Amino acid sequence: MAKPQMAREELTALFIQKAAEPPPEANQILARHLKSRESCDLAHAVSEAMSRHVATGSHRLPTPPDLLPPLG
Amino acid sequence: MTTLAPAFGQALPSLIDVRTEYSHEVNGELVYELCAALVREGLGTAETWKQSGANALVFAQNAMMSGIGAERGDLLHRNVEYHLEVSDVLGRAGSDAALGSGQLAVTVECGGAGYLKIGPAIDALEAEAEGLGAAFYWALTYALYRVMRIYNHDDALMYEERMRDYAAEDEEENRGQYEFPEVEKALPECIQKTLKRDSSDWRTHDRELLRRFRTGKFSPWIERLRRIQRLSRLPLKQSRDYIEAGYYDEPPLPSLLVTFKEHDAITACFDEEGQYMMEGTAEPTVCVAFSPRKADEVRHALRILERFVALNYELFQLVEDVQGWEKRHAGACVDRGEPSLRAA
Repeated sequence: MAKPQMAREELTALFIQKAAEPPPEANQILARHLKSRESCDLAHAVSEAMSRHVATGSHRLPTPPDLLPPLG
Repeated sequence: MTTLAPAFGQALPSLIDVRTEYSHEVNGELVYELCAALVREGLGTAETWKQSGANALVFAQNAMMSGIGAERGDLLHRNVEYHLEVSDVLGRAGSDAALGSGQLAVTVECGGAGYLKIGPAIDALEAEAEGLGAAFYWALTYALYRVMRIYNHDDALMYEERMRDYAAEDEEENRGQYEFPEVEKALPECIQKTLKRDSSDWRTHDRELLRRFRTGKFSPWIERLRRIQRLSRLPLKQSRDYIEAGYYDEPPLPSLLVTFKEHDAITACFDEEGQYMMEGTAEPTVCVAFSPRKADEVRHALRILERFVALNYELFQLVEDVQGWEKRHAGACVDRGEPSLRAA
């Protein structure tokens, strides 16, 4: 009868340990950016510029003439 | 023949080695804290953890479902559409109300109402003893009002009043286009008689009547009603502050539609109003904020949920009991209902 009780305590300890673990490195980089005011402002500025660009009619870059050789 | 172009000096740099996706779980640790809290309260075991593939979200979901139980879960699934959610934000999308640090909120939202056609049951109770049907109806109504939003004769009467106000404010020539449901006329006689009671002792009278017939032919219904009443009276406070800060557009969606007959005036009003119920963001039916680190808060949240599930379990068993009784007595009632809406 003592076994399930132990299992419960072990499981609780496992979850508490997992809750205390730091996130993976890639997540930490992202978390740092999300906490940085400058990063958030930059992302906001890029996002706004993209919206403006789309809203004002995007213009395509001209294809360089020597990108593809003539097939003939 | 050469088909590939030579490398162009001004070509855009390759994006092949650039990561295209990052993921970050804000408050991800709260999921594990929730799991730990559930295990401490006896919800979820090592076996559940194994069956969940060591996924904390799946574990939390399975642990909570084990608390509800398969039988109760199936009954609710058959009769109503509830969504149980544990989240670190509240409120409608785009204007989430921030919870305190380390806080979670458990909510139950209703996506589809259950249905109780109570008219035949009221008639049967009235045939047993005058006033018994009305006593049953009012006791059930007031018990449910304490715990959930229901759509019943009250909402239909308010809808009719609004329609009459709109018609009165409209141009003379447009008034003929309005249709009024005439709700009061559609109510059973015993409900009409008890709709506006002046004396204060009617509750005692109704209680006495229900007590007297507890052991009679309809004892299963009256016993279920008593259990619903007992559960509804438990003093369990929900997190109203968070709901008020959540910028919800509307009250909760009704968990139950209570009509007297098929296609009656209440059904017609619900059909009309129901078309607009999903347009805004409705408040959750249940909402309680808690910190998974604080055992007393976790227990309080679980008690609220347990009460809600237990009450709904009794309610929808009653709904199915009444439906079953009606099927067994089909043909005894000759009233086929009435036109739902009448032109003014």
